[in-house]
Amino acid sequence: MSAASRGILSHLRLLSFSCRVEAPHQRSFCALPVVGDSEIETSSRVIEAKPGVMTPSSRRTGAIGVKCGMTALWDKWGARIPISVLWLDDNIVSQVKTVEKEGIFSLQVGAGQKKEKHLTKPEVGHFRAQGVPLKRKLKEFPVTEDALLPVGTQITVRHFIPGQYVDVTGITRGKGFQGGMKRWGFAGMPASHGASLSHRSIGSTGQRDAPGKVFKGKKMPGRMGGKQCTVKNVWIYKIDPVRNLMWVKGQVPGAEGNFVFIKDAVYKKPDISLLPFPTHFIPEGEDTTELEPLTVDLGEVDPFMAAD
Amino acid sequence: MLGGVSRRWVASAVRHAGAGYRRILAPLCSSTSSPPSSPSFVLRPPANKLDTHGELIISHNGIFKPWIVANKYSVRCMTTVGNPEVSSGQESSVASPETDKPHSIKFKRLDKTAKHIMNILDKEAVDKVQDERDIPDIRPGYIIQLKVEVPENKRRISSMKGIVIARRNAGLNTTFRLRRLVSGVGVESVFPLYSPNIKEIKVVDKRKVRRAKLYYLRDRMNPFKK
Repeated sequence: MSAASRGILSHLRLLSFSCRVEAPHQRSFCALPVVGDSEIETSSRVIEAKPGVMTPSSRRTGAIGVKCGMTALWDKWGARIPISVLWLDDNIVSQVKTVEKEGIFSLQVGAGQKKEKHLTKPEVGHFRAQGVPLKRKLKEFPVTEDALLPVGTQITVRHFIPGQYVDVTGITRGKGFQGGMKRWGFAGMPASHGASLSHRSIGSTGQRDAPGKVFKGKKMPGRMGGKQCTVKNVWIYKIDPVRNLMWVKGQVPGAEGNFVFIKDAVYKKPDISLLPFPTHFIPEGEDTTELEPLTVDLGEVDPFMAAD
Repeated sequence: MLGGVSRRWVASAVRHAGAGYRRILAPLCSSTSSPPSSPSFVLRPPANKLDTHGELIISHNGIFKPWIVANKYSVRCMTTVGNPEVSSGQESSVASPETDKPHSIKFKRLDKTAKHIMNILDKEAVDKVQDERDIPDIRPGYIIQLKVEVPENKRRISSMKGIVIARRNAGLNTTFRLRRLVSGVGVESVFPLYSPNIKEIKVVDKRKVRRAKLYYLRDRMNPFKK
């Protein structure tokens, strides 16, 4: 009886204590942003859509692409290049996040389009609040402050230039439950020499009594694929500004029709003097239906003859 | 302010949901008036071709031909999806909001859209190669004379003659299999039909064959004798 009452009492005390502690916090929490908001509105960070100068530390926004499939083309020297086609489907900036409001400088990019009935109410509310058309896919790209773009800015394929390297992120194809040889590249076990019933097994999983356990993270058979993966340093071979198509060399993760996210390469950094910064703005009066596809300049030296 | 803009977007999207037919017609007019100036870009064909195409459409005026046009336009549709506001500035006939809703490329499922785009690109690439070079029709049973440039071998041109024993149709990646005898040994080589390294294809003889893959010739010593 007494124990129970003591328990209730302590609960009450705790409650009151927490209340007392929380109250000033809440007040301060409320107060601060209000001040901050007013400051923002008065000082007003104006994000203009005008070309800027790219510094080595600045980071541009990425884009959302759709993997269309793979093919192979011959370049002008007759070498065959494996190609993945990416389609930048109507990319626009759908939200701008700033340090003052969200604590980070980033741009939310939307791709594709969707009908209102196919979106949830909160999603529709987000698009309405930002004043942008309804989008199929959203992705946030952290940028530096100088690379911010106003909401509604189009990100076309000319954001990238042929010959630059990009990192392409996507969800790999799911491969189901796979063994150690396929999943982790294990060597397997001998085909003969008395091996029985264990040609593709993983072999030993650890030591003896000393640890007496299998270490965490041991590579074992299991579900493979269906995970996010980034292919780095993908070379852009060709872009088509009219149809917002991009031909890149080699593979990118995912199946046909999957969304992939394209960013400037982290390792093989593109030449900052050539890149359109913060993005490529379509000049006034330019007929976008008459633009030629841009192919990478392969130089004048024949690679096959220069090999000698 | 912001709410107003968004409402405009939503409303326009709903309003113009069925405006696809108009959009198909409008760019047709615009393209005939100003022929595109891109010889390399096959999807928008050269001016003379475009004219003949236009005549065809007018003369037939059936169900089938306009469908082709719609299909042709579909690719440019793809672009207008990409930039509805710009197209509104350029083409007066196409208003900006209606460009983003109806377009004739497959839209509901993204994998089908992707496939559709790849088909279009593949067709374009094949048409481009066929415009540039005259590639004869190659079928199994033809005996052909080939001149192939080998870039890896200092771009020397090697010539070979043999019988086509198979053809694999795959758009730009179409290949054929050539069987010939080199010093008494049968050699089969696979060539991409549209490769720029094939400098010349000459059909020497046409054998009458009754199947598509002549793999039975492997069991015969001399492929030229049947």
